[in-house]
Amino acid sequence: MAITITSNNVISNTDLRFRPGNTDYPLYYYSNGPRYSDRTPAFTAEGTAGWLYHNNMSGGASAGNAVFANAMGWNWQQQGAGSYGMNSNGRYYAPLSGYYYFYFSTYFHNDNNSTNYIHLNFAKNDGFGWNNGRTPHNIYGHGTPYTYEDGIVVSCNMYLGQGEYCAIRPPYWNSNNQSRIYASHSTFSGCLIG
Amino acid sequence: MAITIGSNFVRSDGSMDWRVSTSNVVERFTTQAIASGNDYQPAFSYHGTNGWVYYSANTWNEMRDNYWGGLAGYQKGPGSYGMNSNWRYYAPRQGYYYFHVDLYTLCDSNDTNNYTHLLFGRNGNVSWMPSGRTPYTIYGHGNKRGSGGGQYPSGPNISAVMFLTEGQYCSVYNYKGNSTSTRVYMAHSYFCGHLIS
Repeated sequence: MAITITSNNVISNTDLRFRPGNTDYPLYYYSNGPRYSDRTPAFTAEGTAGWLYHNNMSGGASAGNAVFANAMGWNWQQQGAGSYGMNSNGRYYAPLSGYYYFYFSTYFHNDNNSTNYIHLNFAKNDGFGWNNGRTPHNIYGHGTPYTYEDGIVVSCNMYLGQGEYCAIRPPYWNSNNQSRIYASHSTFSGCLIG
Repeated sequence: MAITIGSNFVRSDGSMDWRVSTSNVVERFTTQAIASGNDYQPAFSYHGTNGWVYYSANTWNEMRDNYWGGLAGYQKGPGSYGMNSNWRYYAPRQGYYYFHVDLYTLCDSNDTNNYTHLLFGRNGNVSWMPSGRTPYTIYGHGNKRGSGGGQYPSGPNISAVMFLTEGQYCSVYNYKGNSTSTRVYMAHSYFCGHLIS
């Protein structure tokens, strides 16, 4: 086994491994090519608890203050978290600075024929306006007649500095407590893009 | 041109290739300081070929080739695994994978039993989350337009970040309510994914 260096090539004849320090291999290439790292931040989490109304959320019935994250319990699997990563309060703390992909889906029921809609989005450090001051939310359940809303899902690419956090925080949820989400059918996941 | 090895860097005068064996470029760094990745990193992008397909009620249906039909699309880096003609994606390497599916669904009537739950499975098991939960979504429950007749549910889709060991597989599942009056147009439906790390 050897590494050969030519004019513009670094060539290994077996797995090519990168080692900052003497013990870890945070990145290597298998001998048949794929890049592998069990240190790149990634996680997948499931919500726990049953039906939750607006007034079950942190901030109570105040529209625009519905924080999903700590109203549910969470179970998760993750890698590359270091001193950060997923927390029991439903916040994902960035292990490193960079762009992260996040995804959330849940299960939404409108209890009557009113416009019990929800804007679904993430927040950065609890701030709705995480994307250059704007809140790029979608909308679900506006006027859905007493039934389950199609979906509901949201995803994004968010820049986080090390230690900053992302959580699910709808910028608006109609506060009359006539619509609800089922926590145990919810999932929150993400990874460092680069 | 030459490559210089410093105290904590490797520098090239021009673009620089990292190779595993002389022929396999696994990472290419350009003079714009961009890392281009490699042709061996697992990824796939497929849509189905069948037309309208109905599916069974009151059960989780694994959407295999009897739903999707043939494979229309492409993949890279499958090694001995990857996407199979039965529409199961076998992990070429252990790691976290991103998956996404879009379905084009029609409820033939406004029956609330025409709903669909949409979910992924791992190795044939829909309870693949860390503590065994099934985080599915729902589409097509009743008629949302307030008039009789059928409807197209709005954008059935789901994504996931799933951990797979080498050789484990991910596939798409739907659960149909107590009605057989819902169908999916597979040639408009789509399944993709890639290895994150």
